[in-house]
Amino acid sequence: MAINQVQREMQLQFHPEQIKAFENIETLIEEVRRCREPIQYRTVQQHLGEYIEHADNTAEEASSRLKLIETHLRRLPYNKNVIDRQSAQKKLEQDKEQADLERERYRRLGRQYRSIGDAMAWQLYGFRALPIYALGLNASPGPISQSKKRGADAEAKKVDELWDEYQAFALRHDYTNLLRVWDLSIFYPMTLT
Amino acid sequence: MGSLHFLSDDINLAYIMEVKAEDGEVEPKQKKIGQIVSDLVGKNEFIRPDGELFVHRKLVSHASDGAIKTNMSLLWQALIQSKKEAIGHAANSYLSVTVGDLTNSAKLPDDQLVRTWKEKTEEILFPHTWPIYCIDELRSDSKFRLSKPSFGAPYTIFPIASDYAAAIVTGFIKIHYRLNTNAITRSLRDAGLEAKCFLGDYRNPGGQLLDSKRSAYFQVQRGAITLNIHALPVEQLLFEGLPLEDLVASVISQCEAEEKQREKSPNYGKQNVRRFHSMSTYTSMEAVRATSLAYIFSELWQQNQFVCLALTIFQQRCKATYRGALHLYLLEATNLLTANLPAKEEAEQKEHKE
Repeated sequence: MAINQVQREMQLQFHPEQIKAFENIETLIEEVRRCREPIQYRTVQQHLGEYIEHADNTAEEASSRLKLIETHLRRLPYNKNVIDRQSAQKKLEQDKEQADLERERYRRLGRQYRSIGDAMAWQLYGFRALPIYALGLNASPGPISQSKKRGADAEAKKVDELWDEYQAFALRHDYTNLLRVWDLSIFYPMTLT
Repeated sequence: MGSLHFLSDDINLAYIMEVKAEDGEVEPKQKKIGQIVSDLVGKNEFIRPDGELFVHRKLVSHASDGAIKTNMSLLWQALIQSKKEAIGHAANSYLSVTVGDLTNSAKLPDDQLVRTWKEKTEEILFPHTWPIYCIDELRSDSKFRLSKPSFGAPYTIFPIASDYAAAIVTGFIKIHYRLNTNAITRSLRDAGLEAKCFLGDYRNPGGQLLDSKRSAYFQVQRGAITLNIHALPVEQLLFEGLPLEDLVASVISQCEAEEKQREKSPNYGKQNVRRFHSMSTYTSMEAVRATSLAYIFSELWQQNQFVCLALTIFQQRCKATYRGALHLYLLEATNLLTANLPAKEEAEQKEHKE
């Protein structure tokens, strides 16, 4: 591993957000393992949703910033307004590295938090491998981006409707790494008990 | 908006639902994949779009005393040792597990830490550990696995304490795995199958595999039946504690099923295409994962001691006795396990040059 790769790994691993995620994930695992009733699952999913949405939004912001910096870098040789090109390029490259690191950090955090959603899925499906494997027979939808915001809002609304009408818990597949077919797994109180 | 009822062998599991932002219809392609999922879960098989049959098999496997067979004990042993010594290691005749605890690495000097890690993860394992000499070793680690989440069971449902699981998921505990593929091949041969590991093909100069075999690790043959063993069972063996005897049993069961299929339809398999695909799940693995629910209250466990648990869970169908250990630990921001190595080597080289 090259030195800058090691430094990058260290920056990612020992960043305060990563250390905080360790604590949050430990708490979330305990919360999931205690879940027996739909209301408990619902509470955990609400907590989880906040972390995942924060991670996805920040990763997307970093990604947009990265694209913008790359465009500036490409246009730099033709930009007549820049006097000191060398220092401008250095500054842009530093910014690019920073944005890239941030994007990677929050993508990782998104995957790490989604492993809590995975634990919920396995637990809800009675630790049976078959439904999990079957629901994984699709391409990953990727993080929740702004372009998918309307779909995500509709899912959130549906989750609440199902709860209000039937006290049914709907697991959002977007909050997992494993479930890739359709959007929700709905568990009615009878099936959970 | 579409929803589909999921039927299982004995209970109704759940509905799955596709949600549309506006009250639109589910696209035919999405409907099709939903139906495939429903068929696979409900009927244990589905016809793939190319017309080939995909079948699920459940392998029921327990030891004669009712205990569940698993290699999870290797992970437990290595985790416990890592708590005391920063690096823990445990192995059986085909699998080696090394755990590096970054929250604990200050217990060893850096150079010793790196040396021990390299020794456990890279050097040849002596015959008392791996009696069968291994030419083609399969190596991987938790970091790689976490970067490509796929079908596998996540660490969050491993039967380990939540603090351990969280440390693995977030990269503060690193697990390195080594699989002796020669031992796997030998076991398959001992069970009456002709077996070959594809990793060897890469050793030959210019060695390449056909596209159809690139995702396979092993190939077995019994009579006219040829099967490729793909990533899913190998990953279960490597990462998830699947015992080798269960893998061999599932391969034999698949061969038997194909033989029966051939007897039924004589033309079966005559064309140069696979007509029948099979996926195995293991009751032992499901039961092991279910025990994760018991690993909650760290404070009830005593530090650095094995604790026996007797559990009756998983819809009262699986009984298991497990030995596990849990520890509470504080997070210490310490150096990455191997982080200093390249920097150190470079510094040494520089010093040498000077």
